[in-house]
Amino acid sequence: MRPELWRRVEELCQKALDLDESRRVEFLHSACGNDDELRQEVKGLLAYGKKAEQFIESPALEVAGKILATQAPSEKWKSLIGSTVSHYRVIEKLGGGGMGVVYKAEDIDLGRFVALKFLPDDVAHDPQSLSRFQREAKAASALNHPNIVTIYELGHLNGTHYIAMEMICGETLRALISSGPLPFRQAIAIATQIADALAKAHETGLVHRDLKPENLMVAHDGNAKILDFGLAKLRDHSVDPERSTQANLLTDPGTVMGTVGYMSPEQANGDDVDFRSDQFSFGAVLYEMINGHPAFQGRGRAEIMAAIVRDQPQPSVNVPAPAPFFWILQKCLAKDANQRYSSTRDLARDLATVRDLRIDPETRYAVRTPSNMPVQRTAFIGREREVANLRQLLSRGDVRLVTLTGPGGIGKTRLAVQVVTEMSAGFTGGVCFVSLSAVSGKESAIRAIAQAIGLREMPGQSSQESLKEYVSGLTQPLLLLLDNFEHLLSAASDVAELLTFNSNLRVMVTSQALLHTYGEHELPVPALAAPDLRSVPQAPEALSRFAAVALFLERAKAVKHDFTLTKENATAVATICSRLDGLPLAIELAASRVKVLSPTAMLTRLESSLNLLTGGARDLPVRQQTLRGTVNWSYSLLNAAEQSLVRRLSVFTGGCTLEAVEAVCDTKGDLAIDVLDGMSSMVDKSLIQQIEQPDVEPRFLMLSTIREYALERLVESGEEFATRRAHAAYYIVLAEECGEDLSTHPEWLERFDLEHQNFRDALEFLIRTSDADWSMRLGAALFNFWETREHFAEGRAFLERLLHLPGTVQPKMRARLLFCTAVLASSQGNFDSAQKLHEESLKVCRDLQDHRGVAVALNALGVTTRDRGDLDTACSLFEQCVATWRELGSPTDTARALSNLANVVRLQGNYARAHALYDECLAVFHDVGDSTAVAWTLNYLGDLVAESVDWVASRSYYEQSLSAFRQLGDGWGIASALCDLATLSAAQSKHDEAERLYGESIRIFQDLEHKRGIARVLECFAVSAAAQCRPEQSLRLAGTAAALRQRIGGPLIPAEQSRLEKKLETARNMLTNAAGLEAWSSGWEMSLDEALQEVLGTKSPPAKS
Amino acid sequence: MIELPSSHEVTRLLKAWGAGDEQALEKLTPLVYRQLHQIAQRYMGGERSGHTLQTTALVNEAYLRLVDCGQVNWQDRAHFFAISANLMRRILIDFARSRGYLKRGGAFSHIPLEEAPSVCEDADVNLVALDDALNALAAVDERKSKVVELRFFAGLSVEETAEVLRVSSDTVIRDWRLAKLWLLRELSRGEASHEA
Repeated sequence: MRPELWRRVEELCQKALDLDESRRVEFLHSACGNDDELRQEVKGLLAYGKKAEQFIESPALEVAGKILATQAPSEKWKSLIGSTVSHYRVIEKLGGGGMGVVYKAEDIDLGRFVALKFLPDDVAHDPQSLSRFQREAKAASALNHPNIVTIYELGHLNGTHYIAMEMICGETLRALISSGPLPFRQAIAIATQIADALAKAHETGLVHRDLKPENLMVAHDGNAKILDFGLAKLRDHSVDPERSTQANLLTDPGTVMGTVGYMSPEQANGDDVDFRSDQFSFGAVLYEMINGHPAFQGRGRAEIMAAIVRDQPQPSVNVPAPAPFFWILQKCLAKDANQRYSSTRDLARDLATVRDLRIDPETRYAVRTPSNMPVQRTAFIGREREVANLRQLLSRGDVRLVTLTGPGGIGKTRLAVQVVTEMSAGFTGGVCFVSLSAVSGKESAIRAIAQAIGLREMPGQSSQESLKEYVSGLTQPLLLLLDNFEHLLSAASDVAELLTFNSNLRVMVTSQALLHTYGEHELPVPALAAPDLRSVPQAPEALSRFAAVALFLERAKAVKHDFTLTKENATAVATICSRLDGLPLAIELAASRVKVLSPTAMLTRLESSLNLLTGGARDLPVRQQTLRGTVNWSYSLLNAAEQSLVRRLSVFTGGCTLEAVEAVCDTKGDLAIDVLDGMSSMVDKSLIQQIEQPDVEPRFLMLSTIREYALERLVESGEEFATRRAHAAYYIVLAEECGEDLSTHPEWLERFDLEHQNFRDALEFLIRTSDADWSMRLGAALFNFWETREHFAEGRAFLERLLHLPGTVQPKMRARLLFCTAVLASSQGNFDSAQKLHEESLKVCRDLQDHRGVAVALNALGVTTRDRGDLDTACSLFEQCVATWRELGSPTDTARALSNLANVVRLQGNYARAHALYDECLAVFHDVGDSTAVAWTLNYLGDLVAESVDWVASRSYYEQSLSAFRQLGDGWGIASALCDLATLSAAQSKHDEAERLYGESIRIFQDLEHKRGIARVLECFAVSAAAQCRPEQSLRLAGTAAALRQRIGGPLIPAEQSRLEKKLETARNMLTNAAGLEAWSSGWEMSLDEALQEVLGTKSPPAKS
Repeated sequence: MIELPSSHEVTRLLKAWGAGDEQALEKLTPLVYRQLHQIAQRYMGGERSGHTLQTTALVNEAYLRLVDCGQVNWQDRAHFFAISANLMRRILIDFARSRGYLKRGGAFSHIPLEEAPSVCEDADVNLVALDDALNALAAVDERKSKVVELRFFAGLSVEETAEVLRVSSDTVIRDWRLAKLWLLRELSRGEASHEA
C-alpha cells in the first residue's frame, strides 16, 4: 500500500474506532467522500473489530503451550526435549512417522549432533524381531556406503528403544517434492545415488522393504541418503500388518498412505519379497520425483493397493528426460518381479548411463564453431612486445584467464582482437567475441555470453546452466573474449566457475579493473611509445619509429593522403603524441583533424583545451584527463549542428543504421546539417566508426568512451528525454513493421539481431518512464522476434514486467500480452503458467466481447491442453473454438479449428468422427481456394485412414496430397507426403520401397534445413529398422533423432512419443536392456551427418537371421 | 534434566544472539521449551480455563528469566526487551513449525480428533501464518509490527512496550488495536488465497 494511503486509512480507522459503532458508517460516508478505495480499505479493517477483541490477547508462549498440550501424544515424550537420554541431550523434534519419533540430540561424550529415533513400543515389543532388526540395521550401516545413513548405536532406556544415527543437514525427499516435480537433472542425480546404495545393499542380501520419499534424505550439498534399513522388517514380523496399519493411521495418516503407495505388487498381495520389491518401490519414488504426483493413487488404502497390483501409472507428461530413462522406470515398475532387473547393480549402471548422456556441443548447437571477431579496417600499429607476451600467455596450457587492463582509450580491445584473430586457427573449438559494454547485471552478462556463442535456450534450463553444459562438453579449445568487463565485476566469480568446468575453455578479458579471481593473469596495456619532449629526434624516420607517431601518421594519411612527416611539422607531431600520453584513441581523434588544422595549429588549440580541463578535474588519473580533454577538444571543434548529432547519437547502443540516425537524431528536422554529411564527417573525425559487412546496410558505432562523453552532453543539453523517446518510437515502428514476418524474411531477422540491444534499451526506457502504451506496443511487437530467436526467458521477463505496469491498460492489449507471455511460457516448457495465462487472456477477451480474441485464445488453450495430454479438455476447447468461428462467419478459421478438433478426436481414437470433421474441412478449404490447406487436409485424412488399416484409401489420400504439394512447389509438404507414403509401404512390409521413399523425403528436409522433419524421418527409419530385425540400428537412429529433437527444442508431444516407443519396443525386446541402452546412447552421441550417411548411403546390411 | 543457563549466562547469550551468533539460540531454546512444557502440563492437568493467573504468571517468569533486568541499565534494558521479543518470536515460530503448522490454512493435519482436548478459542491462532502477516505489516508500518512483537511474543505490558519504543502508552494502545485489525484481515486473505 502506498504510504500516503496507509496514513489516511489509519487516521480514519482510529477515528472510527473512537466512535460508537452505530455512528461509524455515517462518519465514513462523510470522511471518505468519493474515494471508494479509501472507504473499502477502512471498512475492510473495521469489519474485524469483533474478532479482534480476543485475538492475540494471550501471550504467544501461552498459545504455544496450548499447542503442545493438545498435541502431546503420550506422557513419555512430553518431557523429552531438554532432557538427557543415556549420553544424549535431546534438543528438538525433527519429525515422526509410523516408525517412531525422531529428535535432534547432542552426543555429550563425543560432542556431535545425532538423530535419535525412538521406536514405538508396539514395534519393539518382540525381542526376537528386535534383535533381527538390530542385526540388519547394523549390517546396512556397516556397508559404509556414502548414500546409506550411518547408525551409531542401538540402545534402550527404561524399556524405550532408540537408534542413534548420523545427523543429516537437509530435507527428506518428501519435503523436496512437496512443491512439485524436481528438475530432471536433480532427480536423476538423486536417483543414481540411491540406486547405487541399493545395489550395494542388495549384493549383501539386505532388502529395505519400505523405500519411500520419507525415508530418503537429500543433504544440502545434494548427497542423498537412504534411512531406516531393516526397520520395515521389524514391523512386518512384530505385528499383524493390518493392525499396524490401523495404528499408523491413527498417528499419522499421511505416512501410511505414503507407505502403501510405494509397496510392490508382491507386498500388496502379502507374498514373499526380495530385492526386486525394492526396485519397484524405487521406481514409484522415481516416478513421483519427476512427475510431482504419486505413481499409484486412490481414495483409500484398498484402492491404492489395487492400483499397484493392476494399473499402469499415467504416462509421464512434459518430463524432459531421454527415452531410456522411461525404459528404466518401466522396468522397475513391472508388475511381475521377473520382468524387473535381475541385479540392482544393472539398474544403477543404466541410470548412471542416462545421467551421463551429454549432448556433444558440436552436434547439439547447430551453431557452427563460433567465430565472430570484429573485422578491423585499419592497420594495427606497434605493440610488438604486448602481442608477443599475449601470444606466449595464450599458448601456455596453464594460463586460462588473461585480463588486459588499462584505462579507456588505451587500446585494450584492439590489441585483444588483433591477437585473437591471429591465433584463431589454434582454437579449433572457436573464438567468440562478447561485447559487454551495453550489458548491465550479472544475469544479462551470462545471457550475453550464451547468446554470443549461439546457445539455444532449452526448456527448463537457465542460460547459466546451458552455458555450463556447453562448456563441460567442449572437446576442442574455445576462446572467449569478454570485452569491456569493468562494470560487471560481480560476474567475475561466474567466469571463474566456468573455467573450472573444462580445461578446453580459455577466457580473455578486457577491463579497466582486474577480476581478482584465482588463476587470473594480468597484462597491463601500456600507452604507445611517444618521443620524450626533452630530446625529440629531428629526423622524421627516427620519429616514426615511435608507435604513437606511426599511429598519428597512419590515421592522418587516411584523411589527407599526402600528409607526411616533415622537418617542419615533426616537432609538433611529436609534441602532440607526447602531450596525448601515447593514448591511441586520443591520437586518432587528433590525427583525423589534419585536413583542417596543421599540426602546429592543432597543438596550440589542443594545449589550451587540455590545460583548461586539467584545471577542473584534478582528481581524475592523468591519462583519463588527457583522453577526456581530447574528446572534449574534438567535440569543441565541431559546429553546433554536428555537436547536436554526436550528442543524440549517444542513445544508440550496439550501433545503428543511417535510417535510424535520420529518424532519431533529426526527428523534428531541426538538425542544421544533412545527416549523411554529418555522419561522414563524424567518421572522418574518428568520433564514430563505420562498419561495412557484405549484404548488410552499413552500421555506425560509437566507442564507449566517446559515447559516455556524448551522453553527458546530451543530458546537459536537456534533450535526453526527447531523443530517447524518438529512439523508442523508431524501434517501435521497426518492430511493428517487420516483426510480423520475421520467419519469411531472414534478412529482417538478422537486422533484429543487430538491433537487439537497441530494442532492449528502448523497452527499458519506456518501462522506466512508465509509458504503458508505448512499452506494451513494443513488447507485443517484439514477441515474434523473441519467439523466433528463442529468447524465451528474456521475452517473458519483459512481458511480465509489462503486465505488472501500473495504470490502466487497454484490455485488448492486455489480452494480447497475456497471449504472448503464455506462448513463451509454453516454449519454456512451463505449461502450468501457459495455461493460466491463456485462461486469463480468454477471460479478458470474453469480457471485451472480442469474439475473435476469444476464438484465438480458445485455440491456444486447446493446443496447450492437448500438449499436456489432456485430450478431453482439449477436445471441448476446440469445439468451443469451432463454434465461435462459425458465429463470426469466418469459414477459413472455422475449418482450421475443425482441423485441430479432428486431430484431437483422432488421438482419442474416434476415427469416424475425425473423418467427418476432416471432410468438412476439406470442403471449406476447397470453397475458399486454399490449396495448401487442401493438401494438408488430404494428408491428415491419409494418416487417419491408415490407422484403421485401410491402406488403399490411405495411399490414395497421400498421393493426392503429394501431387497437390508438387503443384504448389511446397517442399516441406512434398517431403512430408513422401514420408507418409513410405510409412505406408513399410506397414505393408515393402521395406525397400519404404526406405527409398524415406531417403527421398529426408533429402528434401535436409535441403530445407528442416530439422524437425529430419528428426521425424529418422524416427521412421528407426521403426523400419526395428521391423527388419535390426534392433541396434533402430535404437541408434532413435537416439540420434531424440538428440536432434532435444537440440532444436522440439520434443514429440506425449501421445506421439508413446506411439513411437511402442513401435520401437520390438527392437528393445530383441536386445538386453544394457545393449539397448548402449545402442540408443551411441545414436545420441552420433553426429547428424553420420546418421544421415547411415540411412542414405552406406546402409548397414540387413541382419536378418 | 539439563542445567539451565544462569541469568548472567542468559544475558550474555542474548547479547551474543543479538550480535548474530546463531548458536546462542540453540542454547536459549531449551529455556523457553521448559516454560512451554510447564504451561502445557498445566493445561493437560485440566486447567483449561483460558487466561488463568497461573499461566500468565508463568509466562512472565519466563521472560524475567530471560532478561535479568536488574543487571542492565535502562538503555540496555529496552534493547534487551527488543532482542528477547525477537528471540521469543523466532523460537516459538520454529516450535509451531515443528509441530506441523502449515504456513497457510491453519490447523493441524496431524492430531487425531479424539485426542485433541477442547481448546479455548484463541489457541487457534496460527503462529506461522501470523509470523508471515507480521512481516507484511512491518513493510507497511514498522512500529505497529514492533508493538505486536513486544506485546504478543514478549508478553510486555503496554507501559513496558511504550518504554521500549519510546512512545506514549496511548500510542501503544492505538497501534495495538489497529495492528490487530490489520493482521486479522491479512490472515483471512491468506486463507482465502489458500482455498482459491
